[in-house]
Amino acid sequence: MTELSSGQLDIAEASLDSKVFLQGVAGTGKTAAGIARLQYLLDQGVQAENILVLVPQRALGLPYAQAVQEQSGTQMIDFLTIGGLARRMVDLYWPLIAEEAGFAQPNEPPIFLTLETAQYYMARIVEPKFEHGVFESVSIPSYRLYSQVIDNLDKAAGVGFPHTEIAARLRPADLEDPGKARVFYDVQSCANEFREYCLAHNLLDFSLQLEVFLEHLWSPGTLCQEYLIRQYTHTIVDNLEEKVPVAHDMLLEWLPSFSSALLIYDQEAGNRRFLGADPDSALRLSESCHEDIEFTESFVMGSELTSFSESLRYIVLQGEAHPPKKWPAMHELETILPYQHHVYFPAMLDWVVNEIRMLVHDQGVSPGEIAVLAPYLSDSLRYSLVERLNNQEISVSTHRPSRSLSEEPVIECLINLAKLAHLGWGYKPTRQEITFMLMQAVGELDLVRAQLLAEHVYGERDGALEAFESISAEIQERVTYQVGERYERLRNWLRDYMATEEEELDFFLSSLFGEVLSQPGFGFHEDYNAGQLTANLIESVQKFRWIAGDILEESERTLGQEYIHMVEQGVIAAQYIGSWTTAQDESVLIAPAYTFLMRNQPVDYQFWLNIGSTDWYQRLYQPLTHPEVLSRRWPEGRKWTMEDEEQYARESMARLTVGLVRRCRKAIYLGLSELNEAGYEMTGDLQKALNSILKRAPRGTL
Amino acid sequence: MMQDFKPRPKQAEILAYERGYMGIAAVPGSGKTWTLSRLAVEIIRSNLLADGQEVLIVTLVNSAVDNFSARIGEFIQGEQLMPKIGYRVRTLHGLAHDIVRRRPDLLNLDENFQIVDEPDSVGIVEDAARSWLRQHPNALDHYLIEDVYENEQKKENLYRSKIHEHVREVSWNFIQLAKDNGLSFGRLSQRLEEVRDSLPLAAMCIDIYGVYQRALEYRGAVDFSDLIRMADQALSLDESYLAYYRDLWPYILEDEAQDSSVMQERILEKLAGVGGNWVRVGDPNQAIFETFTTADPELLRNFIADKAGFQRELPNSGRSTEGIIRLANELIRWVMEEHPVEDARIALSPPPIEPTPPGDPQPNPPDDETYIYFDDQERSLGEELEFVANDAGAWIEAHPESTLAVLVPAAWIGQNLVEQLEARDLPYTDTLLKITYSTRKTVGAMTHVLNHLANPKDARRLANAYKAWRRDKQDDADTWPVIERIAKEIAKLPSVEDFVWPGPAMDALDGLLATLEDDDLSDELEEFRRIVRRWQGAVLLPVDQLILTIGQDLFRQASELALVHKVALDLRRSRIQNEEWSLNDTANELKMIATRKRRGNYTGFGEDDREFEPQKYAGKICVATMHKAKGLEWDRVHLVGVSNYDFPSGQPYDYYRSRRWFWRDELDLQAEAEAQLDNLLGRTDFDWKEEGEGTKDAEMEYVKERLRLFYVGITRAKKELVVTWNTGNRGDNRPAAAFTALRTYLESDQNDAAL
Amino acid sequence: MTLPSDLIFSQTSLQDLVDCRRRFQLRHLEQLAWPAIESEPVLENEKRMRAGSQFHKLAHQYVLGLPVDRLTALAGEGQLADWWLAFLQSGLVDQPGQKYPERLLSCTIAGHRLVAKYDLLLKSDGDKWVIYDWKTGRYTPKRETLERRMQTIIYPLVLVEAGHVLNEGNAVLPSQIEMNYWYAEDPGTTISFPYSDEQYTRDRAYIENTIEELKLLREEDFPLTTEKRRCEYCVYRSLCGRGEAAGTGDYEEIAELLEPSEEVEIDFEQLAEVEF
Repeated sequence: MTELSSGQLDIAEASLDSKVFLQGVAGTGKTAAGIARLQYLLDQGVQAENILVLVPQRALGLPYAQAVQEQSGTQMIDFLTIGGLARRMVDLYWPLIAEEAGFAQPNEPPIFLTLETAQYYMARIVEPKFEHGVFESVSIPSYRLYSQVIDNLDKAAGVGFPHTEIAARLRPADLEDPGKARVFYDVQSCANEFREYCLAHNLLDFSLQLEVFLEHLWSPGTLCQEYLIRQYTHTIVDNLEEKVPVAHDMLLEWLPSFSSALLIYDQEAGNRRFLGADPDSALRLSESCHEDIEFTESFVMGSELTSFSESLRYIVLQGEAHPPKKWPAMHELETILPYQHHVYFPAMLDWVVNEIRMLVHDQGVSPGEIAVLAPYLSDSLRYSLVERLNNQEISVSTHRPSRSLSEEPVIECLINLAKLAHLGWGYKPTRQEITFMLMQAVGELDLVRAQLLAEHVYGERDGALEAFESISAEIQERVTYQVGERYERLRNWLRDYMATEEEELDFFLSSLFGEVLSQPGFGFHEDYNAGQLTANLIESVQKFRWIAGDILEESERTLGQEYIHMVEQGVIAAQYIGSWTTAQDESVLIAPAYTFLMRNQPVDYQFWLNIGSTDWYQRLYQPLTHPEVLSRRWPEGRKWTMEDEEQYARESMARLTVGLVRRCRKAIYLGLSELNEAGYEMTGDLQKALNSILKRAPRGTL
Repeated sequence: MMQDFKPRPKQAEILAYERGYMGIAAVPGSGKTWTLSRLAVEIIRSNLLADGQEVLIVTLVNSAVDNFSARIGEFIQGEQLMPKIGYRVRTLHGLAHDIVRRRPDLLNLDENFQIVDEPDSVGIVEDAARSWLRQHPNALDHYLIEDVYENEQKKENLYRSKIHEHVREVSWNFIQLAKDNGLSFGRLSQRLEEVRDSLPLAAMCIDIYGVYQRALEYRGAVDFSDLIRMADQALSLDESYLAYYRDLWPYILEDEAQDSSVMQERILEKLAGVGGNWVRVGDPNQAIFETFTTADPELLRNFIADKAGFQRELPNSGRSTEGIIRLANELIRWVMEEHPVEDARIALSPPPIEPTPPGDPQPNPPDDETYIYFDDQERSLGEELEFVANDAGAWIEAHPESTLAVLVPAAWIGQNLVEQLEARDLPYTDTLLKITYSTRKTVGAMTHVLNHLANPKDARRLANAYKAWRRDKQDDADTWPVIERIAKEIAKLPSVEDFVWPGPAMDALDGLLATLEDDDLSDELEEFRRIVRRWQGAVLLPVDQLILTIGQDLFRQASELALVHKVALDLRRSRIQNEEWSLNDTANELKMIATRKRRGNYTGFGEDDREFEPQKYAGKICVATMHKAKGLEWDRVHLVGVSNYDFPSGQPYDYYRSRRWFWRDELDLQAEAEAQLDNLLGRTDFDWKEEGEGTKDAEMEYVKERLRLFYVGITRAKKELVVTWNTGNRGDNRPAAAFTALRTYLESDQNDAAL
Repeated sequence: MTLPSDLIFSQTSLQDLVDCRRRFQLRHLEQLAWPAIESEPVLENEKRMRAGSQFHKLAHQYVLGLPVDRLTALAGEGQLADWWLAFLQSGLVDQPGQKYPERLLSCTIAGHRLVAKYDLLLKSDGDKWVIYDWKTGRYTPKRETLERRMQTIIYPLVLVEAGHVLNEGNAVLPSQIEMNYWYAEDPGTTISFPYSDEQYTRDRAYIENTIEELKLLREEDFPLTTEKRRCEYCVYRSLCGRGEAAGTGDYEEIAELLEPSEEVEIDFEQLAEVEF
C-alpha cells in the first residue's frame, strides 16, 4: 500500500460519528482514502457486517474486498450494488409484500428475471403484435426493440416515476411527426403489458425489483427497513455519481441513521448516464453531510499531462471550463502526445503495435502499464490487435463482452448436435454445419476429412446420420478408420438418446458433454475453453428453463425448441456477460475506453485509436428511449434539440477523454488514420480539438 | 508545383469570392476542380472559419472525393497539424450518411442501422415483384402486342421470364425515383386510393414499393435513396438540427453541379440557407447522368440565371488544340441551330470554349498538331473494333510517350475491344473499365482461398488458392512458370487430405516432389501446406476473423490490407443479417464485390482508383466508357460506336434500347410508369399525361443526354480525334445525325482552310 | 507451489482436498468449469436441490420474524411442505437465545482465509453456542461418517477463531460449542457433536497441516483419488479417464452432493455492461 497523504489520512481517521462528502476528479486518491477508511473502521472494532460498502458495479467493489481480505484476521467485507440489495431484500421479505405489491400469486416464490429472460418475455409479448402494425414506423431489429422497452422500464424505476408515464415523458409537447407519436404509444402499451404480465406471473425484472423494494420494503416501520438500519451502522459509498436518483433518495433518508458515512463523488464522471446515473442528483447528498471535502491534487499525472488535460477540457467544452493554467508547449506535447498520420487503418494498427514493441522490448516498460483504447472496439479490431501483439510476443488481456455466445464455434457445434438429436423440433443443420460440428466433436479431425465424412454420411433432407460402414470402403479409408470409430461412438450415443424420452436441453448437453465430447478421443477432451463455454451455454439454458419452464408448458413448443428459436432470433445468448477478468499484471490491456474508465486503474501509457471517430462523443442512439429526456433534470414536454445533443456530446467527450488523461502517467499515443475501419473518412471533433491544442501550443526555445 | 500555379484572370475573379451564392458555368478543360480546391483553400486560410467549422465540398463520385481531398491537403500542407481539418469532401451519399448518422433516432432508426446496397435492394424488389405478379397474373395484358396477347402459351412464357424481370426493373427504378422525389410509400398509397384504376402501372409499382419498404424496416435497414430522403427529412424536421449544420458548414462548394439532382439541390439549399454561402460549378453541356434520376442540367442553368448573386464563367481551356475546340463549339452551334428535332436544340448551350489567353501558363497545344478523322465507312461492330485496334495500336507504337484512349458507349464493347488488343499483344489498360482493378485483384485472391475452404477436398480449388497465394510472382518470368507447374500438379492430387493432413503411412508431398522432379521445391510445398492448415483451422472463427487471418498471409500492401479489413467488417455485418450463410455464400459475396456487382464503398483502397492519371499510362491504350472518361484527357481519343443506336436524334427510324418488343405501340413502360407517377401527383388536368407521352418525353431526354455525351467524348481529346460507327446487331444502324453533321462541317472546314 | 493470495478455504474445498487432490486442483485452483452430469437421476436431484435451498430460505425468513402462516403458504404442498412442517414441529428455532441466521464467519489459518457459513448460530441464555445445519439430502449418514467430514471439523473451529465478533469481543470457548445436524427427511434425528479444547487443538493442527502440506505440493503432485467410486459422482471424470456416465446409486460418501451448495447466491447483476 502506498503511503497516504495527510488529506487521505484525515478522511480515513475521521471520528466514528462523522459524515463526510468527499469529492474530486479521477486520480486524486479518493478510493484509496475510502479503502483506508474501511480499514480504520475495522481497526476501531467496527464489525465488517455492520459496514455497508455500496458501489455501482461489482468490479469496483473488489479493491475494497481485497484490501481487507489480504490482511489476516477474521473480517470479510461484502459489497453491494443497489440492485443487488433490492433483490436480496425482495427475495427475503417476499411473503410480507407480495400481495400488496400486486402479485397475483403471493404464495408462490418470486422469479427474478435476468436481462436475457426479461428480453424473452418481452419478445413473447411484442412479437405477436408485429402483425398488427406495432412499431411499424421504426427501423430496428426486434431484439434491440425489446431491450429498449425494458430500458424504459428501468429508467422509470431508477429515476422514480410511474412506468405508465414513459410515453408522456418521451414525447415533446409540440410533437408533429405522427410516426414518432405512434412509436411512443407502442412503447407505452408494450411496457404496460409487460408489467401486467410480470405481476400476473410473479416475474420481477430489474425495474420491478427496484420499485417493489423502494415502495414496499424501504419505508418507515417495515421489518425490512428496521433490519437494514439495525444491520448497517456505517457506510462507504463509492462513485456516488454513477448511481440512479432513487438510490440517492434512499441514501438521503438513510443517512441520519448511520453512525458514520463516507460518500465519494467523482466530479467529472457520470459515465453511466445512459444507464440512468445522475451526478446532479448525487450532489444533493453533500448538504446532509457534516463535511464536504475536495481533493485536487493528482497522484497520477505529471505537470505536462496536467496542463494537457486542462487545455483539452477547455477546448472541448468551448469555454465552459477554466482555461488551463498553462498551455502545454510544443516540445512537451511531442513527448506526451506522440502521433503519426496514416491513410489506412491497418497501417495505423501496425504503427501502434510497433510503438508498443519498442516500449516493451527496447525500453523495458511492463506490458501491464500499457492500455490500448478505442471508443468502440469491434471484434475485427480486437482480433487484429491481439494477433499483431501476439506475433511480437507481447501478452494481451482483453475483456470481450461483444462476441455473443451464439457465435462461438463450440456453441454452434453443440446447438447443431442438439438439433440433430431433436429432429422433431424442425431444425436441420446444413452440410457445412455438420462438417464443422464433426471437425470439433471428433478428435483430431481435419477439415478435408470432416467434409468427406459429412458428405457421405449426412443427408441434408432428413437430417439423419448414416453409419460409417454404409459408405464405400475407399471413402472409409480416406476418412480413416480411427475417425470412423469415433464417429460411430458419437452416432450411437445420439441414436440411443433418440430412442428414449427427450431430456431437458441442458441435461442433454450436459450428458453429451460428459459422456462423449469431453471423453478421450473427442474434441473437447482436455479443452478447458470448450468446457467453460459449454458450461456457459448450459447455465443459460438452465436459467431459461427455471424461469420460463412453467409458463412454457402451456405452449406447443418444448423448452429446447423455444430456446433455440430465441437464440436464432438474437434474443438469447446474444450477449454473454463474462465475469470481469482482472487484467493479468504483465499484459497489455485492450479495451473500450469506457470500460477502462470504469475499471479505474491508471497506466503509464495509453494508445487512443481512431482519433477521428465520432464515437468519442456521440451517444448511443435508441429510437425508443432517451436517457436524458427521461432524467430528472429534464423539464417535461421539452423537445430534445441539436443544441442539447451538442452540449451532451461535448460533455461526454470531456468526461471520457479527460477521464482517460487523468488515468495516464506518461504519454498518450494517438492512432490516426484517414480512412476508418470501414473505409469512411472521418474527422471528428476530438481530432479537431487536438489540432486546436497543437496549433495553440507555444513553440520555440526550451 | 501546383502552389506556384498562377490563376488566369477568370479564375482569379472566382478566387476573390467571399460570400453569397455564386454560380459558375465552366467549359471542358477549364480547371474547375483546381479552381474549386483553390477556393476552398483560400477560405480555410482566411479567417472566415471559426474553430471546428468546415468548408463542405460536394462532388459526384467517390474518386473525385479523393481527388479533392488530396489536392486541398497538398495545398495546406504544414498549416494544420492534423489531417483533414477545416474541410470535408463528400458525395451526396456520403453527405446524407453523415447527416443521418448524427441523429438516427430523429428518423426512428436504430443506432446500428444498416445500409442495403444496390444488389440487395434489387433482390428484395425482385421477391416483391414476383409475389405481386402471382397475385395479379394478367395485370399487364393490355400492354402486350397483339401477337402475344392472343397466344396463351407465348404469354405465359413471357410473363415467367421477360415480363417478370422487366417488372422488377421498372418497379425498382420507380421506387428509387419516388424516393428521390421525397415520396414515401404512405403518401403515394393515400393518393392512389382514388385513381388506382386509371394508373395501373403506378399502382403496381406502389404496391411493390410497400412490400419493399416493409422488408427494409424488418431488417432495420435503409437503401441509398432512403439515406438521402432521410437526410432531407431530418433537416426539415428539426430546426435546431439544420442550424447545427449551417453552423458547421458555413461554406458549401459544389462541383459537377450540372448533374445535381433535385434532392441534392434541395439539401444543399437548406444547408446554405437564405443569405448563406454556396458556390456551384458545373458545365451543363456535360450533364450525362440524368437517365432514371432527377438530375437535370436545367437546375444549374436556372440557379446561375435566377438565384446566384454572382455569375462567373470559366470559358478558357488550354486542354485541346484550337481545331478540336472549333469542332466542339460547332457541335454546340449545330445542336442549337440545326438539330432536326426542335425540342432537342436545348441539349447544349453556350458558352463556347475559348482557348487560353496569350501568356497563359497552360497554353493550348499548337493547332498544327490537330488531327480529326470521322470515318463514315460502314462496318459491323467486330470490324469497327478491329479497325480501331489496328489504328490505335499503330499510333501508340509510333508515339510511346503519348496518351491514347478508346472511348466506348458501353462497358461490354470495351471488353470486346480488350480481347482484340490482347490478340494483337498491344499494351493497354482497362482500369477505368472496371474502376477498382486492384480491389478486384485483392478480393479475387481472397475468393480463391474461400472457395477452397468451402470445398476443401477439391484439388483444383486448392491449386487456385496456391496461385492466389503466389500471385505477386505473376510478372516474374522465371518463377511464374514453376508456380504454374506446381499448381497443375496440385490440381491433380487424388486426395487432398494426404497432402494437407497426411497420415503416418503416406504423405502426398513426396509424390508431388517426385512428379515435379525437383527436390528444391520441398520448402515451397511445406510452406504452402503450413499456410493451408492455418486457413483450414480458421474456418471455425467468425467470418471477419477468418478473412483477417487469410488476409495476413495473402497481402502485404497497406491498401490491400485496409480493403481486407473493410471486407471483413462488411461480411460480418452481412453474416449477422443472413444467419444461414455458408462459406460458399461468403465466397459468392466476395465474387460480387470483385465483379463490381456489389456497389458499397470499395473505392479508395487501390492505388489506381484514388485518382486516375492518364499520363501514368503513356504508351498504353486506355479503354474506357465515355461516362468514365469525364474529367480526363488524352493526346488522342477514339470514339467508338457513334451510330443512331447509341446516339439517336429523335427520328422515326431511330431505335431506343428502352423499348421492349412485346409492348404495344413501342411503349417504354418505365417511362409510362413515371408519367403515371407524375399524373398521380399532378395538380391539374392540364398536366395529365396521356399514354405514350411518357415514352416520348423519355426518348427526347435520352436524345439530349446522348448529344452531351458525344460532346464530352470529343472534348477529351487534346490533339487527335478519331470517330467511327457500326451497323449494330441488326445491321441497320446508321451514323448518328451529329456524326454526319460534324463530318460535313469538317469537310467544308477543310475546304475553307484549303481556300 | 504458491497459492493465490485470494484463495479462500471452506469446508467444501477442504473436503475436496482430502477426498481427491486432483479434484481440488481442478475445481478450486484452476476453477475449471466442466459441465458433465454430476449424479443421476438428474432432474429429480435438481428438484431436491432447489427445494433444499428454498427450505433454507424459509428457515432464514422464519428467524427474521416473518409471519409463519405466510411462510407455510409459500412452502406449498409436497416435499418442501413436509420438511417445513417437520421443521416447525422440531421447535429448534423457537428456543430462547440470540440467533444469527445465514451467518458468515471467517478466520485466518496458515496464512489463508477459512470461511464457514452457518445456517443458524444460536447463542443460548446459558452461554452455549449451538451450530445448526439443516440437511435436506435423501440419506442420513452414519454418525462416524459425519464425524470425519470437514464440515464437522471446520464449523466449530471457525466459531472458536472468530466468535468474538459476535460475543462483544469475548472469545467463544470450545467447551461452549455444540455442532448439530438436523435432517429434514428424518425429522426425529438431530445428530449432535459436542466440542472441546482437545478437539479444537487437534482440529486446528490438522487443518493447518493440511494447508501447509498443500503449499508444498508441486503442480504434478495432485493425484487422482484411489476411491474410484467417487469418480462416478464427479464432473471431471472424463478428464481423468474415470468413466463416462454419472452414478445413480446411493453411495453414502456422496450424500452431501444433494445438499444445496453454500454458494447458492447467483449474481443477478442486472445492468449489463453496454457494448461500446
